[in-house]
Amino acid sequence: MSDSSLDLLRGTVDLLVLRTLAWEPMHGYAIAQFVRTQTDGAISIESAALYQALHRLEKRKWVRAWWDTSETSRRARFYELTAEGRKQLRDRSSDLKAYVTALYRVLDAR
Amino acid sequence: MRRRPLARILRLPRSADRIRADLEEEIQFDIALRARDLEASGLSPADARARAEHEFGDLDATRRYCEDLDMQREAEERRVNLLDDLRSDLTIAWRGMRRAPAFAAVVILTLALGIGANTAVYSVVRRVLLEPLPFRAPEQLYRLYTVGTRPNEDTDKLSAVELDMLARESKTLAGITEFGWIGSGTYSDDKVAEVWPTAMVAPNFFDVLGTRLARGRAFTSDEAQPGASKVAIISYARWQSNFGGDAHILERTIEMNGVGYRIVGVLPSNFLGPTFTADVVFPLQIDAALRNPRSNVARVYRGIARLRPGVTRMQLESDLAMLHPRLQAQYQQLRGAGAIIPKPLHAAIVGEAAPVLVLVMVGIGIVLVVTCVNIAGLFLSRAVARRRELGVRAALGAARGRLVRQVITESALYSVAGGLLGIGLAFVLKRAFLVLIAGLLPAMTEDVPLSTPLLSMALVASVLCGIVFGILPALAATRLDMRDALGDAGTRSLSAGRGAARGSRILVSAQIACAVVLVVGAGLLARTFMSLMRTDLGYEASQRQLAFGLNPTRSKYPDRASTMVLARTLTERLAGLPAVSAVGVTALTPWMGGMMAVPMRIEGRPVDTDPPTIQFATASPDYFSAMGVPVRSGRAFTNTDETSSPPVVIISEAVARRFWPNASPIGARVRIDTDVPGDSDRVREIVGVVADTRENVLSPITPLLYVPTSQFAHFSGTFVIRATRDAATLVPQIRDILHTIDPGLPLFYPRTVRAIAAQSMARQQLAMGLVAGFAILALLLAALGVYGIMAYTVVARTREFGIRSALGATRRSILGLVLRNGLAVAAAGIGFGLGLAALLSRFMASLLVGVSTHDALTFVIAPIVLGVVSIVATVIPARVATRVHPVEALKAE
Repeated sequence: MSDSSLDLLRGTVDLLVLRTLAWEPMHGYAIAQFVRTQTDGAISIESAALYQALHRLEKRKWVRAWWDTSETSRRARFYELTAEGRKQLRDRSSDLKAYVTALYRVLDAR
Repeated sequence: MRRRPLARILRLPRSADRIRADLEEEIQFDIALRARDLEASGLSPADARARAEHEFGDLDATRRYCEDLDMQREAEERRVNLLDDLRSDLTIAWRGMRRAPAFAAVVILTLALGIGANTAVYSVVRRVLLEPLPFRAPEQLYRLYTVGTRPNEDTDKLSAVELDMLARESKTLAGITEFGWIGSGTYSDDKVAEVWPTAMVAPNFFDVLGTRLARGRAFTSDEAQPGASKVAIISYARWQSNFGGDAHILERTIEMNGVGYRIVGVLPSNFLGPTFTADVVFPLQIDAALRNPRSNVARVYRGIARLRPGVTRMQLESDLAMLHPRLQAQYQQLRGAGAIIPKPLHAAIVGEAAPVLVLVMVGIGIVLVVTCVNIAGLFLSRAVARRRELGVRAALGAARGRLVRQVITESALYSVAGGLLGIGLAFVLKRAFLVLIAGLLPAMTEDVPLSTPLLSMALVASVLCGIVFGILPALAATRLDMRDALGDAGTRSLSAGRGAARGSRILVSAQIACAVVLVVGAGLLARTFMSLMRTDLGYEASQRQLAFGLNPTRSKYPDRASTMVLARTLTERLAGLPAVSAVGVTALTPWMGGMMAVPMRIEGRPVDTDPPTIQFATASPDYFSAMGVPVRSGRAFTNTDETSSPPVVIISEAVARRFWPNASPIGARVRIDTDVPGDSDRVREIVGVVADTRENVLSPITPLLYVPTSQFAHFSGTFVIRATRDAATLVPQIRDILHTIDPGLPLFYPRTVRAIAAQSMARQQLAMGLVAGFAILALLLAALGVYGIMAYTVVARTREFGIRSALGATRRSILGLVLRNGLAVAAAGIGFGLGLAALLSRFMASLLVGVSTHDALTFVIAPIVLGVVSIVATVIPARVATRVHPVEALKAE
């Protein structure tokens, strides 16, 4: 991995979004809520970054979107993983896991 | 779990505004939910809203970023969709074609024929009529003609003095050149003896035309003097065929009529003889002719003039008009001779063929219109028949534009297929067309390429056709209300699509009108042809008569005595053939036209300073019986009319009528000056009167004087043989006889007299054949159109007829209803067509002989023909309609 730190950050947001959508299709606000709950508030994705990530992923055809009625009975844009998105999620999470493990080894070295 | 709805399959394109609105809604939804949650934790609505917006992050950057991405995504999807649509359209179209192969075949074939025929004919027409001649600045070149002052006068020749004065004194000409003596000669080498067309040209001929020779040089003026060394220029084709393209051709000699000529040049491969074709050309000795006061006023040379740059035709004409009186003042022999008039060289060359080509182009154009109308009609009825299908697809969510596109794709597929097939056909048809018109234009049409711009134009036109054919019916069919197409209204309405039905009726009327125009054209030409056939040529023109030329080479037959021996031997041997009943020899057959006019003075009448000139010919004893020219009074020549016996002459009826209107000319004596050395000014006794003859069916009769072949100093002969069977079968035997007498003598152009006579009608015959062909094609198409429309209407009205007969209408009344309908359409078409034909027929005037352009009979018969065709095409579907049982009719659909 030779990404710059911004790319790393973006890549991380993308990965979080993909992972979340792997559970079930949901709209943007639900994705943010899900990540926050899942990490007990440790990670909170800023909305600006989240929507940019969603539209980026949609253009790459890793997710697709449609309009549907939400739980508030307002129209919301729902996202779901595509087959390609699922594959990318698998590849990228193992890459990131390997990277994080390596990072730990350095940080925890005695 | 939330699922993606199925309707998502039909994706509609989003506009930029729509994309922005969607994005804003998504963002506002996020902010609203966040504000709601914040409000739940105790904030005031206004504070919650402000906080939510703040927590969202950089709103504007997000809007810009997402919008940009969405736009890109949209563009991408549109591209993908377009390809997907095209593929599915093509699949649907292909399935449609397979479902209705006859429809597909008719559409593709008619398109192919239309495109192929037009490309082929137009390629030829363009080459002949529109392309410049292969000379330098061809627009400056003019052929010089004279105004005829007597009937049947040759108007394409000038005298040496006239040409000389023009060359010296004209202010408008950059150059003037002459050619003449267009004929044929015998080429011989150790292997073959062939007949080659020949011509003579002045030394400056190629210079004035601006033609570069392929090899060698033009003639020098020294070579055009009497007694100069004998030189010739041969054609490119002969250089290739007889000399194998020999690189040393300029060192060789050829033998023509037994005389050797040194080859000094080779004509260019694209050489076009201005109104002649020649395999070999010789120098024209115009200077010597100019010096001879006896012959320099004889109009025997064909002139070509080149204008100075910037000079107009008007200026040339006034220049010529000014020179004319001066010539007449200087040369009294030219008094009374017609003035000189220029004609653009292109028109002079194309002349005869132009009206035929134009006729063909117009004919093809009309057929193409009928074809297009037919196809449009077919598509229209099909589109109407497919209202339901299109309605269903519209109901399933297909946009109107999408449906129109599909129908267009379909017709475009047809037209591209038709266009490609048409290009293939164009090559075949072009060859066929060239063969057809070869007789009219030998020199220009040897190799006409199909022009690439034309072909591409034809392809584009075919695609455009497809789009137009497709789009109109498609719009008509998709304009309809969905309920109308799907629901009860669609099936219960009495006539499906009134607008479409009216459209079809107009199309059929247009077709019938086009067919009327072509039938009138064919009728006028047929009437011309019939009137020509009835024309009495004055001689028999049968398949049992054969004519051929004999051209004894001067080296072997140097004097009159030796040629007479040859002619007599040949005559006897031919007469000995069992199938031959008469053998005649003449210097001038009727079809050769004016060759030699001589002055005639009648003994015992006042001496005329300007005696009348009359065409002169020779005839052997059996000539009149072989030709089938009846002897009206007196006798034909006999074997006792010898060289040494008293000079005699036979005159034609026209001569007798003119000079002896009230008495018998037999026994009268006339003085004839043939101006041939050894034969001038002999007094001859008239011994017979024979029937008048004419050059061809189109020309007036030729007054003629005949003297016995044996009593004329110069021999040149055409043999005419009368046989008891098809004379064409005798050619091998005749050739054998000639070969045993002298192997170096070729048989010149053996043809039956019927073939010769037919040739003079070739133009009319060809024009008639072509227009008749077009007319039949147009009739067929129009009949198909009427039939198709009527059949369709009947099917569409089945239910109505059912109701009518259930209510008590008889079969007859329904039949009458359908017939009235069809005939109304036909009558409209016929009326319009007759008007159009009356307007257009005057363009055919130059092809009509003995028939008015508004010939009543033709204008009566043509509508009858169309009427009958329309009735038949209407009755068949009408009978079907009346056979339908009312119950079935009401149950239908």
